[in-house]
Amino acid sequence: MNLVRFVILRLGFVLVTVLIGTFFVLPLLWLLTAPFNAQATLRVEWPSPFTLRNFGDVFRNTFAIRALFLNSIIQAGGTMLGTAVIATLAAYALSRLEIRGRNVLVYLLVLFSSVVTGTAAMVPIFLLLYYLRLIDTHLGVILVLTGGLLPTGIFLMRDFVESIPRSYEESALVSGATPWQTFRDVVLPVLRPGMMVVAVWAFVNAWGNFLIPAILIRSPEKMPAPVAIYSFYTEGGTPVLTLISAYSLLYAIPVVVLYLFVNWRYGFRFFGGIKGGGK
Amino acid sequence: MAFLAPALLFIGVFLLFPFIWVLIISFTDTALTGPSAANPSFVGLENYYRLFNASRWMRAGEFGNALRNTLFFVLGSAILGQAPLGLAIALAFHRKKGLVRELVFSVATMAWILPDVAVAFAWIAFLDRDFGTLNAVLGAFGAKAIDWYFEKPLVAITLFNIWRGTAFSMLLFSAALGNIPPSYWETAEVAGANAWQRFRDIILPLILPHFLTDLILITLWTFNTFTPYLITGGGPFFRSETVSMYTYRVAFKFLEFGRGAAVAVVMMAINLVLATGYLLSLRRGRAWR
Amino acid sequence: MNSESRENGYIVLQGLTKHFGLVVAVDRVDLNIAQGEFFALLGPSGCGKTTTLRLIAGLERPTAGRIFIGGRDVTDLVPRERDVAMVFQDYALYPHMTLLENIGYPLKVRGVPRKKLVARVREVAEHLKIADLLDRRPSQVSGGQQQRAAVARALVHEPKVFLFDEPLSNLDAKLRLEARAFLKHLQREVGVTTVYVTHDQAEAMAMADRIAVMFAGRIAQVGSPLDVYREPMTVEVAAFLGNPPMNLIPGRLEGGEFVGPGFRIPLSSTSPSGEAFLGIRPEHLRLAERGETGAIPGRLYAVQPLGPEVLVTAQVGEVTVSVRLFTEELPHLGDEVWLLVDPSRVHLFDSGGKRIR
Repeated sequence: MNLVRFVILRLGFVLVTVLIGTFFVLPLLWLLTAPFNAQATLRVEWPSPFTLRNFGDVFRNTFAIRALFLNSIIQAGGTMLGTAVIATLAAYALSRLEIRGRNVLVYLLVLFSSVVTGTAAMVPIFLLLYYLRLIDTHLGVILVLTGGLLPTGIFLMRDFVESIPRSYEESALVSGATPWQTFRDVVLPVLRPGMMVVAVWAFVNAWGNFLIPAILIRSPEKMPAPVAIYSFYTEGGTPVLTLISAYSLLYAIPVVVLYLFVNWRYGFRFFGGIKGGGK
Repeated sequence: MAFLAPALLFIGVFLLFPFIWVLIISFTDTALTGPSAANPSFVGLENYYRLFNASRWMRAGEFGNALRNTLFFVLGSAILGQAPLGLAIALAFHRKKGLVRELVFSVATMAWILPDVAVAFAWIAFLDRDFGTLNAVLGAFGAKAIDWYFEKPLVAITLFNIWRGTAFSMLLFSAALGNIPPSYWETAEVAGANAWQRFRDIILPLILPHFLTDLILITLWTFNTFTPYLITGGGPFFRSETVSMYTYRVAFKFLEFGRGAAVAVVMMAINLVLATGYLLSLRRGRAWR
Repeated sequence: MNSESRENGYIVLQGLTKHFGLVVAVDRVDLNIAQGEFFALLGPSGCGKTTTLRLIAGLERPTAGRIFIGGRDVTDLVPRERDVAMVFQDYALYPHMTLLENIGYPLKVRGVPRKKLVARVREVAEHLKIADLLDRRPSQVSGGQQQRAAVARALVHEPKVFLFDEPLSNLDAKLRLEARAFLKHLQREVGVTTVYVTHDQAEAMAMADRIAVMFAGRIAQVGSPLDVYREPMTVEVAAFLGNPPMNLIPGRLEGGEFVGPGFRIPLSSTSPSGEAFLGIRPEHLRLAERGETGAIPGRLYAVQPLGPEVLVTAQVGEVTVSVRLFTEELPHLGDEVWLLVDPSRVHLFDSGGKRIR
């Protein structure tokens, strides 16, 4: 009786797991098969004939390659640098300065960045950049993305900063270091893993964002990959599936690689982000 | 203090200032083209009147229509979709390790973090009437082919958003479960509680505050997401247009910023209500402990 | 309290006070610490001893009062300008640096050339027997070795003052005894004025030339370890020193006698009548026969054999009283016990906790 129940439970568990796994995998399959298919359709099928020509076509398209390997990297890279550096400085200052209610402040900022977001935020931000003459510039995209990501970046970074014992800095100060030497020699090296995590997170966010560059970038030579991909249409307006699928795959690969890297190095999890309701 | 300055500058310019400014724009007829482009003038509440004009606001392409679609979308994909599914996965793999867990978590997380455009094309293919994988699978069970884009556009983007966002709930609940000290249910186990009793008496009460947190956050995000636009474009004939897409169309297609700002103000007001709810839920969760 | 007292102390604290918001962590502390002295600040957690140490280091700014080191007023100087060294409770060895870099850090920030730095670090490390570990990182050496590395970092630039903040509390019991002897020996050898913070009275007594016992931000008593042990000036000091601590039995003074629950003890000197505490160290009690004159009656609570001695606890009135018996034999005891005290070894405190005799 007990054995029967065990087997049924076990089977049920396996079945449900397989169903859930399938639900998450199925939509992605097309991205894995179509790029290698010389006659790709919207169908998921074994590539026949198998080919790498689609990628060759993509690489011959200078506009698309420029978007992916130059513009996207400039915009996501700039956002990554800006967010990681500014968030680190701010998180450090917040945790070491005796400011009352600083935890509440960070929470409010994170929440506020969720309020001023998406298309709603783009209305005033577009006009702001318009008057600042930053429309259609890499800098404009980087600034807007960084502004939106910073509160959460600070929030993520804060946990790392607070895990550094105060005695590290105090011992450096007593050893004779200046505050700047203390920051450079002791704090920064210890914070490096945290900066890595925030940098990867900011990069992935900026890399995948469609809305902001779609609204802010006008000229083709500055378009990042997610906007440029919409040029793979025939004159008649039908999508060229071989190119689109190959390009999508190339575009998605950095995110997969970064995910695997973070998962391997630090374990993909919430970095204390759950603390709010936690303890 | 100098360390804080850049962050404060960014947040001030790109979050606080737009938040206030959009309110001002919403009372003007600011536009990038046409007669008022050079010299926007104050129009009072006109933009809001047009938004809530009762005689036509439920028509296709109007604000009311978008709001109703959004309600269905948020309810279906966040509250009835992501949260329960995320909790189910977290519970199923609670205190389990191994390849299966790694795989399911990885694939779900991929769905969450892959670029908007890449997953949008994948889903266009997935939902295609004639060649799409979804119809192929359903067909294998004898179901009739559905033209998702024409027949069920709102259901399609709801399904998409469940797929896209469940990972967050899954990770949150998984972390919350991981935070419960094993001694809690080991004590209950020794005391003679069965699996269901342990879930009901120990896990559920400890998870409940997180559930509220999760609901409010995913509601906030789902309400503001723009990605489904890349699949249906809000169509056909505005049947899958959400408020987020409506704002985009008014402000960036018609370039009527005054009117777009009015929608943005309404959106941010809703966001603000949700965010306040989130804060209150956090405080209650803490006091309860 | 001016130039005169400043001359006879190497570290001088004058009216040192530190408030954290409404909390008074350090309250008008005056101290003179002689050159070369090993000075311990002893007290329970939260008594202000660590804050006092951090004030000397310059990690905190005093609310009031002044600090002098070697005749120089350092009150307004940053830590860098005070030429002190500090060993922290968690050692604060930087995880991203090797022991060589860790120990050499005070030299590096002083601009000492690399070659000289390495030579000096090597010299110190050899002295502390960790020279062969210099290429390792802190996580790759044992707790005891980490502690030595932290001490080496404090030694390396030959500071005027050593500050120790509970440096042994992260070691296990056996290593702690070793480290105690090692630190005491080292301090004698280099002769650097040392302020040592601890909550462990045995540690303070074993190592220090003088002890200051602190409670609630104030110094209750300063003196040599034996003086403080033999003649505690307050009930708190009496109860804090010794293991187990001094027994304190509440009662009354009446006509030259102490009247406790069920017993009377005649006292040699006359004292004013009133409520009082009788203090007896556990080693000054012995077991007596039923009805012996002056014996304190109690109910047996527990018997703990400790090897060289046996610890007996008994309930006397409302309090428990400990007795150390220097015997390896387990005594045969009934439910009731009688304890006898040498009247010349008792301490008396008035109802306010101040010593009477």
